[in-house]
Parts: sequence; C-alpha cells; structure tokens
Amino acid sequence: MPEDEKRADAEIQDLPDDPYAPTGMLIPDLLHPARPLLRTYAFDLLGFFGTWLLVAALLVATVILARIGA
Amino acid sequence: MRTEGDYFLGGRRFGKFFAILHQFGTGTHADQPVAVAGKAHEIGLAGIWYQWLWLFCTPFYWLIAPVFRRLRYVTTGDFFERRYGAYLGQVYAIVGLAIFMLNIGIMLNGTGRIVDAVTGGAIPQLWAIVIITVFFVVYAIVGGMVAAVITDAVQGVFIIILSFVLLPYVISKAGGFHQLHEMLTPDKFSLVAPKDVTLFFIVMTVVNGLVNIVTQPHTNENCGVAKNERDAAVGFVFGPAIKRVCTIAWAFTGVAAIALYPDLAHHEEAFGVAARDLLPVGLVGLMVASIMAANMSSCDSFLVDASALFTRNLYAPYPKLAYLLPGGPLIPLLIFGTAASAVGGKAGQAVVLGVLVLVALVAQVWMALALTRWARDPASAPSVDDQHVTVGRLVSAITVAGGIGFALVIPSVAQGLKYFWIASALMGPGWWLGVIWRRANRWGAWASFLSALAAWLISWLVLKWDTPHQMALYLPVAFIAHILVSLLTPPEPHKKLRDFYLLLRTPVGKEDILRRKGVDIVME
Repeated sequence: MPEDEKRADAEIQDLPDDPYAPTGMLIPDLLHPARPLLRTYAFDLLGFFGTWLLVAALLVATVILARIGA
Repeated sequence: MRTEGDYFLGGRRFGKFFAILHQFGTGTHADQPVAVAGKAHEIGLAGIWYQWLWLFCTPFYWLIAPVFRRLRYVTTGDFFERRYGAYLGQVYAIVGLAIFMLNIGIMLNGTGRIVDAVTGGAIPQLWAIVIITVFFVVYAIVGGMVAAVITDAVQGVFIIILSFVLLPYVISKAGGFHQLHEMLTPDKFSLVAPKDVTLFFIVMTVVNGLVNIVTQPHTNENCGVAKNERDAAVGFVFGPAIKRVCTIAWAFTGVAAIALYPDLAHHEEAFGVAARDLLPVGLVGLMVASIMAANMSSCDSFLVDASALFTRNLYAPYPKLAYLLPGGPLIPLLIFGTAASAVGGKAGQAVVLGVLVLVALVAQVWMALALTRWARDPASAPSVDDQHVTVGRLVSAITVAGGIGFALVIPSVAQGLKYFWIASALMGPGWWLGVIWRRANRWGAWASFLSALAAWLISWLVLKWDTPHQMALYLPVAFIAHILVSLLTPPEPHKKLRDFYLLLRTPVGKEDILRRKGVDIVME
C-alpha cells in the first residue's frame, strides 16, 4: 500500500468514536465544523458555489430569451 | 445479475457518465413538459416553476449526494431505521411505496394525455398507459437496476429530442419572438406571475423542495448506484442540470402555445396539440417514441426502488407481512375503482382496472405461496438474496398496478404534482436534523412526522389554504416539533450514533476500517 494511503488509513483509524467529531463533509459538520474550514471542505465548497454559477447562468439565459423581440 | 445488490443498486458499479444519465432519465418524465407547458399556457413563463422549484436546490445536491453514497444504505427506509429505530424505517417504507405509486400514476397520466393529443386520439390515453407499462415492467422486473441505468443512457437522448424538437416549430408558427411579444401581454414573459405562481409560491416550493428532495424515495438509490462519492455528486448535479435546460424549452413552448391555441379546453393539452399540429409526420413518430422513452426511464427505476423499499424495510424484518402487503389494501381499492368505472359507463377503464386487480392478486398469492414453501422446507429454499429478488419482482408488479390505478383517478398532472411535493416532504425534517444534529432522536422524528401530517391535513381540509400556505405551516411545525421533543427526551444510544457517524466519516473504498470497528455496512 502506498505511503500516503497508509497515512490516510491511520488518520481515519485514529479518529475518535465520538459522534461529535467532524466527518469531513459539510452538511453533517454544519454544527461541528473541522478546521481549517477551507482545506477540509474544499471539494464541497467548490462544487456548491460552482453550481450556483450554473444556476445564475440558467436564470440569465431565460430572462434574455424572454426579452428577445420585446 | 447475481445478488440483491445487483438487482436493487446495479452493484454500485456506475461511473460519472451513467450516473449523470441515470439521474437525468429518472428525474425527467413526459408528464413534466405537459405540466410546465400547460401551466405556461395558463399563466405565462412563470409556469416554469412547476419544475424549476428544484433549481435553487441544485447546488445543495453537490453536498447531499456524497452523504447518501457514504452511508451505503440501499433505501431511505434504511436511513430512518439505522438513525432512529426500526419502526420509523417501516413507516417510511409504507409512505415511500405510496409516493412511488402516486409518482408512477402522475407520470402515466401525463404520458397518456400527451400521446392521446399528439396522435389525435389514434392512441387514447388509456391504451398509451397500458402500452408503456408493458414495456418498462418487463425489462425492469427482469433486469433490475442494471437494466434501468443502461436504458436511461439511451432514453436520455430521446428526452432531449422531446424537449427541443417542438420549440422551433411553435415559435416559427407564432411568427417569431417579436410577433409573440406583440400578441401577448408583458406578464406572460415574466418569471413571476401576478397570481398562482407568485413570489411567495416560488419561495415556499423551493424551500419545500430542499426539504423533500432527501426523502423522495428514489434519491438514495439514484446516488447509491455510483461507484463513489464524487461520481454520485457529479451525477446528482449535472443530470438535473440538463433537465433544467430542457425545462426552459418546455416553458417557452407553452408561452408560444398561448398565441396559437388561446381557447384550449385543458391547458395541459398545449404540448400535445402543438406537437400534433406543427411537427412533420416523421417527427410526430419520433416525439411519441421520445415521450414513451422519457417515462420508461423513470418508471423502471421507481419500480426497482419500490421493490427495494418493501423487501428491505418491511419484508426482511417481518416476512409474514408479505402475506398481506402491499396487495391487501390495494386490491379492494382497485376492485372499487373497477366497479365505479363500470357503473359510470367507462368500459375501457373498467377492463384495465379489472386486469390490474388480476395482476395484483396473482402477484400477492404467488408471494404468499412462495413464503409458505420456503417456511415449510427451509433446507431447499433459495438463498436470502434470491428470496429478496423474487419478492422484489412480485412487489414491482403490485406497485405498478397501484400506479396505473392512481393514473386513472388523478384530476390533473399539476394537481398530482402538488400531492407529491407534500407527501415527500413530511419526513424530510427527520432526515436533515438526523444528519446535522447529533441530539436529534426518534421521539423527535416521530413528533416531526406526525405534527407535519396533522398541520398539512388541517391547513388543507379545515382551513382550505392553498399549497404554499400549507407548506408555510407544516414545515416550521415539523422542525420545531422535532427539536423540542428531542431536547425533552433521551438522546439515541451512543453505539447507534457512533456507527452512523463512522459511516459518514469513512470514505467509500475504506470499508475494511468500518469492519475493523464493528460497524454494520448495509451494502458496500
């Protein structure tokens, strides 16, 4: 097993069985976030805000379409 | 297909491509263009919110999908069982089965309506429903989720065709956008309507959508077929994103239809009538094929998901329940429907309902006989996996009989959708608080579900409020009841919480760690 994978395994095993310990996912950790926030939840935050851009683009496109010919 | 996991979740083997198309195919069906174009025909562009209510929820899908995948459950019933105890899981399974039947009913109703309109009555609504059902039942029961996911990839292409092929014809016939603006009042091009789909309606349905998306019974399975958390997230965001784009086309089709068909007897005929009148002959056939494909891609998954819900959350803990459910309460209703249709002079409908009674009866009796045989001679009984797949297949047949029953009694697709939004939301607060708040417990979850149900029924039947106001009552009531009752009662046992959050803490692929820690994994 590669060294970084061994380290990841060890990290998970070292985590306490305490349910209040962070999970590394944003929704379950909303009330008990891990630090540093940005590094821990980078994947979640990137996708979340990226999808908001997509939503905004769809709204803008619809409004533009509705105004064509007005 | 060798195991229960293959049948219910396709062995969790699908990467990003199939995850996207499965989410798109399952989440998009032909009743949706009917409802959106119909509503747009009635009130203008604001009708888009009949499907865009989940637009603002889409970013949250990125966060939700990995949670579902990492919990490694087969059904949302498993979630309630593991987080709050067995009884709540069983209640969810019963509610979930009813939701699936309602959802299949809405879809078949919408599809029948549109095929009837597109073919100018050559294929009446009733027979369209029967034809589609025969197709998807056969391959879903035989091939399970593997067949559902693979066919979704092909059917997805047809759904896109269905969405966009009509738009250029309908805009062109209306004389282009410029002409449309001259013929229609400006409010028909507004995303907010002065009545019905108001800003309050939009806000409430969006909030409700965020609550109910997690307890729509197919969401867990849709995310669960992915190989890992990342594929699940990509599928859950980009599949619905394709649908959001298609929704724009449905809404503009409805708006243009206002100018072309101002006096339709039923607004929901707009899409079908426009397709019949404006598409060239070859494209009409393609449209009918696309409509059928769109529905089959959803119904097949729902059928497998419904059987998983029954098998895992009702049959597995209480095998004797399968002597009675799900046919027991359904068959008398179908018999009543048959008699009412016959008395009302709807001969075709009576025949179809009569056949459904037979199908449900045969499946239920078959299941009872199999159970008796397995109990009498356990040594020669098939493996538990095989028993579950057999029960799942028979339950699929009964579920679809219930779905067609609903399809024949739902007054309109839009009305059916409102029932679906609400029914799916009643247990949503239990999911959200169960994941976010460690102190949430089973008593809180029961209080949340029962108070939401009571608040909804009172606001609907006694106070006669409209749908957004009903939501504005039952959603806060459910969350407050959950929090207060949880604080006043003991927390869940430490072992239960520990196992639940260890699952959430351990990435997919690291199941050996969970095993070493003694955590029960429902399905890897």
